[in-house]
Amino acid sequence: MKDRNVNSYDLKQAQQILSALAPAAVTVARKKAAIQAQAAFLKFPQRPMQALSGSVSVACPTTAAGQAEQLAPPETIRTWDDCIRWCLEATRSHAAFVVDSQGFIIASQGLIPEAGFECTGAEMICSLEQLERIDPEAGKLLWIDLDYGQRRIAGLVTPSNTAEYFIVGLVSPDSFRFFAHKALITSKILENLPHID
Amino acid sequence: MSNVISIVSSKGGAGKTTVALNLAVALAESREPTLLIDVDPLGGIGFSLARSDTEWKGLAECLVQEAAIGEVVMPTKLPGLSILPRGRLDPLDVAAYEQALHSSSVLEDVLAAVAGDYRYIIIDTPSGLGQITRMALSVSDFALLPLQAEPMALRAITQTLRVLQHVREEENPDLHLLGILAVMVELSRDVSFSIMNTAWSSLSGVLETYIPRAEVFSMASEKGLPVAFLPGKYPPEAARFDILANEVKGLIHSLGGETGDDHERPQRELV
Repeated sequence: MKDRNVNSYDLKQAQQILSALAPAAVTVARKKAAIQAQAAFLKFPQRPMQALSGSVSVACPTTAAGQAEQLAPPETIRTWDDCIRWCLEATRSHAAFVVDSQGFIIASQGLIPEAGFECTGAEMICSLEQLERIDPEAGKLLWIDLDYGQRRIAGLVTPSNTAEYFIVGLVSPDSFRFFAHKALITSKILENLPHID
Repeated sequence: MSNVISIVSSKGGAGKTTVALNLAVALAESREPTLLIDVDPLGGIGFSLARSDTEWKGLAECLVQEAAIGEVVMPTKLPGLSILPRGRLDPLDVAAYEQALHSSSVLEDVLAAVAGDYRYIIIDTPSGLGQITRMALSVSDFALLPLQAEPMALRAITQTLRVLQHVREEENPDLHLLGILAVMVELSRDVSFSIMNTAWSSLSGVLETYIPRAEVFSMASEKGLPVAFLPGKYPPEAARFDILANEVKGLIHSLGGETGDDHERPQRELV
């Protein structure tokens, strides 16, 4: 837990840059500070701004050739396998899976991590209740987005009036495609939820 | 040659415009020919001094070739101080303005055209580290970073420094950090004191001069004046900017800038 009695300013990086900017600083120190600073940040894709603007909408991202990449959702989604296949392709995830409200993985595709993944579903379900406590007035949790050092796991939590709900999970999705299609994935799954078996 | 100083901060409300305006006034009051350029699409300098947002032509008119540089550089009643306002920019055209300023050489052309006329050119940049700020840094000799004595501002200082470092390494090797200027300081408040204590102890390059938080800035803003121009007793805050101007000049001199201090002077008679 954070010690609230001490201040929370981390100025090491700022001071490193300041040292590098000092007139007397040697080139090596400058490069070192730049590399260290760089390593701490997300590497933002250097795409044209027009393409980037698509990442905040449901519009399809463009391919390298500039053609609009078609993300055609199925008319109706009948099974969880169909659902995660579509999600997997749309987001270029390493894997996709579905967890039921008991924590069991009821469907999965792709490169499922070998060690301990069967517990991931149960851990996600256990965590849901606690995560919702962070902001109880904000409504039900709709997406969980866990950004670990080695991989990222994102999951759509399907809302339910009954006790039964599901998490549609994605392992290491491509960030650009994930954000581009997130709204579409959400709406399509929620729309088809009553029909999915 | 001019010394071009960009006032830069990633955080909004950090006092960039107040610093730019009052520093420019203090430099001009010390008989240094000074130009204040407003590249902020919001037009902070115009808001600080003019009656309306559309009163003055400026950079925007240069960009669309509706006016020449000479027509939009505005002399003031303070000898030595001129202002190049943002211009009569429609808020709906801000994105186009940013794009045009970034992709054209207008700012460089302006600086080239006026370089011989002013010792100091102060550029007031918008909040954030977008393309206008990057553009300003790429044509500047020095950057001055106002640091609001608030927790968020202290946390955000790394962002600004990182961009500054990047511009210096990739775009403008002649860019120097002049220093970090603490503003809105209230040492009587625990948080403000703690921030200053942390900044002073953890960061090199924090200027000796700092600007306190004071009601006089709101009064000056209300009247559309720099603090030094308020009626009555000369405000201590204006004196702070005089001290800041001296510190800035000293730093620029030590960094190899042209301050005129090395010029030969004739002998003078006192009595």
